Amino acid sequence: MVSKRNWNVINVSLVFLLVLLTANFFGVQFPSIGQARYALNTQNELMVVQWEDQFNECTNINRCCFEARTVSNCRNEEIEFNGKTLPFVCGTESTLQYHMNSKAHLYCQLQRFW
Amino acid sequence: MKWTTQKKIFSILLIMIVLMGGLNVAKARGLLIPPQAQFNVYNNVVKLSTMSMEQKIAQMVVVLGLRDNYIPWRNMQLGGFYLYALPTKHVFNNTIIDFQIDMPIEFFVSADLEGCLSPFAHIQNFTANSDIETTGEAFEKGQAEGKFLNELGFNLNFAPVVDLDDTIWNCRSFPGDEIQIGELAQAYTLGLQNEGVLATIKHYPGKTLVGKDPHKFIASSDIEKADLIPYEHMMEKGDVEAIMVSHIITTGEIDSEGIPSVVNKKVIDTLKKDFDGLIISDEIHMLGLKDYYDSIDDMYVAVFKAGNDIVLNFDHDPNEIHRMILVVKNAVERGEIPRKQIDASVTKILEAKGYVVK
Repeated sequence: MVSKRNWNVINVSLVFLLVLLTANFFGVQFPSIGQARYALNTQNELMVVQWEDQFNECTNINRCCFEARTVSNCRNEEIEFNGKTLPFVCGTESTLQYHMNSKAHLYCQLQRFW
Repeated sequence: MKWTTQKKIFSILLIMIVLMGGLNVAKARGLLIPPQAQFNVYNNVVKLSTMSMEQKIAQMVVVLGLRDNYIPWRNMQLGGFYLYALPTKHVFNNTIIDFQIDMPIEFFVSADLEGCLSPFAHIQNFTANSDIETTGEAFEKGQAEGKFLNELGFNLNFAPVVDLDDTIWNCRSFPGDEIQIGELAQAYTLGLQNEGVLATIKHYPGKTLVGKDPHKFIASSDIEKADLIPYEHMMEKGDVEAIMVSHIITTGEIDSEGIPSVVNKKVIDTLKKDFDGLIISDEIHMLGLKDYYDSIDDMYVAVFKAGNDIVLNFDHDPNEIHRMILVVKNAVERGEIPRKQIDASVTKILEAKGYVVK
């Protein structure tokens, strides 16, 4: 038997859920966990383009995000570049590969085209 | 069973949550977007007068070909879709067939197959532009990539790159000077288009692969005469069907007057004087283009108003794509964008798709 107090707690929770669903339906934007993780990450974005055995820093991160998403096949694969660890890579060995640090990865994930 | 007030409230809330949850899912899948009126295409002839303004603007939009958005993209009768990498040839092929089947006007099906930059690398390898030395090799590369794309169902490739310098990727530009690059790109274009896939030379007006962009500001570059030679060469030959305009701010030979090239009407009008093919915008969410406007709606209007025939918007949300179409439609209705300009763009698009426009 559910007590009267518990019914009240359940109903208040449901009202909260209903408000969230209604707000979402009418397009109210809430900050996402991804945005929070990006904001809390203190690194600078770093992305490196690899073509065969040449590695170059991508000075155009936004474009590189787009291209990394185009080629997909993103996975955890760590490399060191100028003493910095880049734990993510998109692409295959026979083509361009985009290595990125966690901040760059989070940045890419926040883009509308990702 | 006795229904207390709490139980009654609980039941009402539960029903409302289920309803609202359903509406949210339907909205997210784009199922609440009203479908466009159907119209028939007889003997490959499209009468422009039978298309609504919404249908015309929709033809000018290329979106991301997400399977989840299959219904809204078809209902909106968009101009085309772009595919990222998919697991197998079979999946590519089936996705394209599912989108195209029974569409009154076929979609443009596009990708970025440049050689070293390829969403098909896990399926087949292609030669990088930087490894091409002769026009014969360039033609064969175009033919091989065209054949591959055509077999899968693609009809538009956002390649070749005719930027002169590529200091970061090191594989996307053809080797040689501006004249050689123009000739190699021309040969590649002929090979690709021989296989039924339209080529797009990019990124006008040049220097897109060297500019720095800290992602809050759009890159700026000084365009020299040499940067334009490959474009002039290919426009003179008359085979190239499309040119992609970049977001870069330019000075020098092409002056975008402090705003991104893609939204500068003067830049695009100048291009149109010598080129009657399709002018395609770079993806509009890239490189902080929206930072130049008070609202995203202003950016939408600016991109269309500048004279781009095809606008790439890879937003995943079908409601946002629909909203963009309505925003642009309103701009046309209040005279901010001339109807004639929209008609001219749609005519070019339909003709490039192989239809006769009346």
